[in-house]
Amino acid sequence: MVFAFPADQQLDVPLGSRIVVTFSERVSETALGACTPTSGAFCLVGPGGVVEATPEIVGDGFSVQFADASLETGTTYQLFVRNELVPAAKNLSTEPFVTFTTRSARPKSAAPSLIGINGGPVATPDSFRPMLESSTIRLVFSEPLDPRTAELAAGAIELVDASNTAIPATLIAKGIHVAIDPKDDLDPGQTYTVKIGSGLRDLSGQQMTPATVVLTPLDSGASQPIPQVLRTRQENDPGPARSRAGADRNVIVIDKPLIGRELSTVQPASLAARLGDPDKLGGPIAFVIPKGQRLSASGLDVKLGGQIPAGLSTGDILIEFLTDGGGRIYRNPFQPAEQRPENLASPLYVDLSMDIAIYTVDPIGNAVISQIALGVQATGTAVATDGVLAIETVASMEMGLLGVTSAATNLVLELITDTSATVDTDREAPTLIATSPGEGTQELAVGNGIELVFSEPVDLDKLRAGGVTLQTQGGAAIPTVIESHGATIVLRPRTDLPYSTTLDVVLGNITDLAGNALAPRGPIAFSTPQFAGTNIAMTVLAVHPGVPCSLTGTTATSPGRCAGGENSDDVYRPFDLAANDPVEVEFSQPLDRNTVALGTACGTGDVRVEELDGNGGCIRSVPGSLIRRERGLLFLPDAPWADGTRYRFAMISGGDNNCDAGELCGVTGDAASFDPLNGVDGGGGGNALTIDFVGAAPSGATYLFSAAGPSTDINGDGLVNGVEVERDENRGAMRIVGTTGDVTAARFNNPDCIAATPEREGCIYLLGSMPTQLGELISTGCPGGGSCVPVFLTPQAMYATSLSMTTTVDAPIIGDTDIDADTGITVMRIREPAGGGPVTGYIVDGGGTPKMIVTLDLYMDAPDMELPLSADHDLISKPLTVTLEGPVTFLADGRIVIALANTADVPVTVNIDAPLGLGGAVNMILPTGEMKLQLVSRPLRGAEP
Amino acid sequence: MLARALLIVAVLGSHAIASPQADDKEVPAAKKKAAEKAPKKPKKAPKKKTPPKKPTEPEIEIEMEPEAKAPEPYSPPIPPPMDEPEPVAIKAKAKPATFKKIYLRGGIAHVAPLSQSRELELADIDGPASLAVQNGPIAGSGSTVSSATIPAITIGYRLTPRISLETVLGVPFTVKFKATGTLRDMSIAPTALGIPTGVPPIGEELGEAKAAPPMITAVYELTRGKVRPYVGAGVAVLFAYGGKLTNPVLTEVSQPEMKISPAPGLVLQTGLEAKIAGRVYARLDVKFIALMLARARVEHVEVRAPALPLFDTVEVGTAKMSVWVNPLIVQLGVGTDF
Repeated sequence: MVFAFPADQQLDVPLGSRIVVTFSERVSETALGACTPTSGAFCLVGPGGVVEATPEIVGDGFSVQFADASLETGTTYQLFVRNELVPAAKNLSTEPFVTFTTRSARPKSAAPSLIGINGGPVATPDSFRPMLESSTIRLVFSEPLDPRTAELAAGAIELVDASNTAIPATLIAKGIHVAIDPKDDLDPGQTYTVKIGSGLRDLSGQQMTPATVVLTPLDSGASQPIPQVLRTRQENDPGPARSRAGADRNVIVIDKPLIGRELSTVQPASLAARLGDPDKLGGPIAFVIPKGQRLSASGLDVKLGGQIPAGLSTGDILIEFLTDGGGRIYRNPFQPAEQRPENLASPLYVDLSMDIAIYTVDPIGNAVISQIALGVQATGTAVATDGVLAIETVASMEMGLLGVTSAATNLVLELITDTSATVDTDREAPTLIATSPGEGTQELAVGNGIELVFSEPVDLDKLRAGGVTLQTQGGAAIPTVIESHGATIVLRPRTDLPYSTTLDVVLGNITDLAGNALAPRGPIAFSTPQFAGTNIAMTVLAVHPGVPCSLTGTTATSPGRCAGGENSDDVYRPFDLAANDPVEVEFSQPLDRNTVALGTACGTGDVRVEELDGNGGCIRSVPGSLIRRERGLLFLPDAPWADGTRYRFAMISGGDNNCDAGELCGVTGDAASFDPLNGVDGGGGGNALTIDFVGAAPSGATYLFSAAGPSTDINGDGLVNGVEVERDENRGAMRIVGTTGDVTAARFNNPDCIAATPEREGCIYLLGSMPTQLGELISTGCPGGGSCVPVFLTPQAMYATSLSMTTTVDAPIIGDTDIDADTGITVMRIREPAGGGPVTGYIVDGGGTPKMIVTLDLYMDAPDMELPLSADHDLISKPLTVTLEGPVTFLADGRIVIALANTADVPVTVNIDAPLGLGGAVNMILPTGEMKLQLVSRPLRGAEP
Repeated sequence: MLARALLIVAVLGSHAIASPQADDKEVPAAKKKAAEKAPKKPKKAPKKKTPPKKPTEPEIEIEMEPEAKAPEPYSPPIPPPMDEPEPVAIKAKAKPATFKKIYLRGGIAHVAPLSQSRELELADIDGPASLAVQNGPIAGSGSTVSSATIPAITIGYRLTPRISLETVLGVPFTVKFKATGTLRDMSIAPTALGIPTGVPPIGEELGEAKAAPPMITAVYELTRGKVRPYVGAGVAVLFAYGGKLTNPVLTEVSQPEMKISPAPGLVLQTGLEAKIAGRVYARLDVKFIALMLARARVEHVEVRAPALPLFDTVEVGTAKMSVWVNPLIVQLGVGTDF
């Protein structure tokens, strides 16, 4: 055996990594068979026993791989390779050949801690990859960090020398990874300390367990480097005929149901590299690939589910070294140390660690793709032949897709030395392509960061040295951290921004890593939404799993109905939650995060996640992380939800409007209200929101939490307050088409919603969020035939602003009498299909671009609508059916937009019963195309952590 | 081994052709004695022709020295044309003059190659070595072959009194190959991918092999007399065997295999032979073997790359040397005729 990936003792192995071993001779196909923990030619064993996976012989018969192993996060696996696979192999045994541990990027309830450095455990930082004077220091934490705290600063992350003097360095952080790239090479033999302080926090706000790691870099001879040029190997280039990794070389494979399996081919490119002194390390040769250099790969025409054109062509994909990449070339670790390198039997080994930016040429594609991947650990072999050193490395990483998920991405990169090659010099200045939110808009959510999407990565050090600042219009600086996301940077305020404020992003000295400067330009203004004071209590817009209302009570077959609805309402079917999905809640107003208390035992806290027994009794509080957002909560259990296990999620708001201890409250100071059908203007408090659900197996679907945006009703009070900006993207236009009975006339008192029509329509502005699951491609049951991507919606609710209407009733004696009434907030609840199954929409090919079609059965309620003279109305649980259709597109900042509109008039009849036997109805419609619902995914990079 | 076998065959062949003892054994001693004494006996007048007794029976031969005269009473009826002072072999009937057919000259020979080499050529380079060197000639490199002095015996067989075929027998001698030019003074692989390898210049010493250049020449004596200049020409083949590299750099790791192909050449010969006393002759012989291209091939050369501990040793493939040996052979010898 001459090569294996992952490497033995490798930590932080991305899920979805291809597991491959390669031999110097062909393997015996007949040896592949069943595995037990103690037998089998090629077996992967985890804590739960043998991992189900399909062994494949690849690489012209020299390699065996598992490409479909279903790995768990943060789990240690052992790969057994036994002699029957290659009887002639001399270096196989009955012991596990490779042991590796998968990445765990899941938030945890325990305090965060440093768990890895330079690929090895903290206690033995040099065990996996020695620290060299030229090394970038790469840290791995036990859980994702709050990016607002991840910085090179006292109390957070520090790199100091023996005299405790800070070493100038560039820090880049993302998720569980931090890269510290010293500006200059360190002094070999001197001691340096990485200090992790309690100022560093996880996403739930827990402080880091302080740690210090002492590093003494080895002298690799970097002070007198030997220049080298590495070039991506092309078809007719010299080099070995066969891949040692058993895969197509210089091909990036991205595999995810959301987009299917996509291949991207690495284009011709050259990289300057520096070799260290081969004598310094007693054999291994260190090498450095200086930051700022790029590879390019062919672009992707993104297809949802692999077939539905997404209308997104990325153009060439560029991969830029964000920090100095590097590693070592050394003797094959599977052979005796004295074994001289031989191309076939004992090829040289290579490890390469890198932090890369991924972005694209196409502006929209760039906005969608732009990201970074830190701590990419490539392992491979180097073969000297035909006058070149051909370095073939295997790397695996998780690549963000469309801002909604990540995909296992496997790359086999083959570079060859080429003394005649030249390295292109970047002479192109970066340009600012887009911002998120858009320049001049009032859509800057107070908890979000500002994204600046450039055409290429820019120099972080210059940005942090004042190259970009966030200021009030009065010129006061707002403290921010600056994050790198490839060609995009995020200016993230350390604390929530104030509402109703205009801010400027001031661009100064901004260059790319080659020094090309961004053209000067003026400040970019953004505003946070106008937030009007209100006494309406905070309620829930969406909850996953479940429905955003207090339920009437659980039965054996149903969690019941929304409290306050009609008794004839449908009862909901039991809720379940896929193993890796979070519990997520979105509120109608900002949350008072100080009132959020996650229960740690049964029946404690105002946010409770509990495991239940068969009778619904609490067994324990589920350990996990609760992330408090400006308008939401997100809970992730430490361990995935167990299939078939009963759980309960509950939020407590108390019995009255007062925000008392142990109650969840909004920033308005009122306790939250979870039973909107009982009216929202009556103050907060009331029934708890309790969702019982059952854990389910992991799903292949992609979880997408989108929100109606931009929205008008910022404060969620059901009204369009004076300061709120009416947004047309999410609104319905009600048109009165007639009256019946004693109602002789009716008119809206609101401004005409659609000026272009002769009628006077009344606008209702929608507020809501929608947890959805994008399923895998199907080819049956799609609208119009063909293939489509199902979109599974949960039975959430949309809220609409109030309409003011005057109806004229032909009253006895007094004749026509005007009755003025406001509908108050309108709640439109999605009903589950009567025939069973989830609420399902479909994304189909709309002629080169995707189009979503969904038919929703709704209940419409106006719980706060009161008519004078004790008149009554029937706008309670009023069933509606609306078919919505619209394109799926991408915003300039990369967000997914589903802009739906009704495909036919939707009749809405409100019956009025008044005293004295008066009665009648107002017949309205939502005209075709005038029920607009625009769902927008979260900002890809600037969203609140 | 093939070369060695060829050499043995060649040497044995030479012996078979040139061995005077072998000829002597075929002649009965009495007859030989008689033959030797024949010229001194008074001959009966050959009144009638006397056919030879047996075809295989040696003729009575008389070596005619230049000063020799036919017996007085004899007067041949038809005197044959004779070129003075060639010895004349006369059939018994006419008591024809004869000559010694076999001669042997022992002495020493100095073999001095007038070598001129092509550039050392590398081939079959693959693996790590390909990072440092390429297939093809090493610019400025060269090699030579050392001279040698060996005991040697020339054995000749006269076809006619003035024309003979001769060969030289000598003990196989050791030929040393030496590096010249850049091969000697510069590292053959100073860097690999720009990384110093630490491979030193190999120096002068390259290797050695046992060599034997069997040759056969046709010699023509220009004059007869006490001093006989002669010229000759023929062919030679340089057989070499037991080749081995002796260079400490090239043999530090392993002993590569050295193969030397037989090298044919054309021999030009001249010399002078002088009668010292009686039938003892001294001889100065000079031969030049032209167009003798010796091709040596050293396979599986491994060198240590001390500055590249990653590799430690590197197999550099095959080195091919082509040397125009063109030796000048000066031989001094003393011998007699039989």
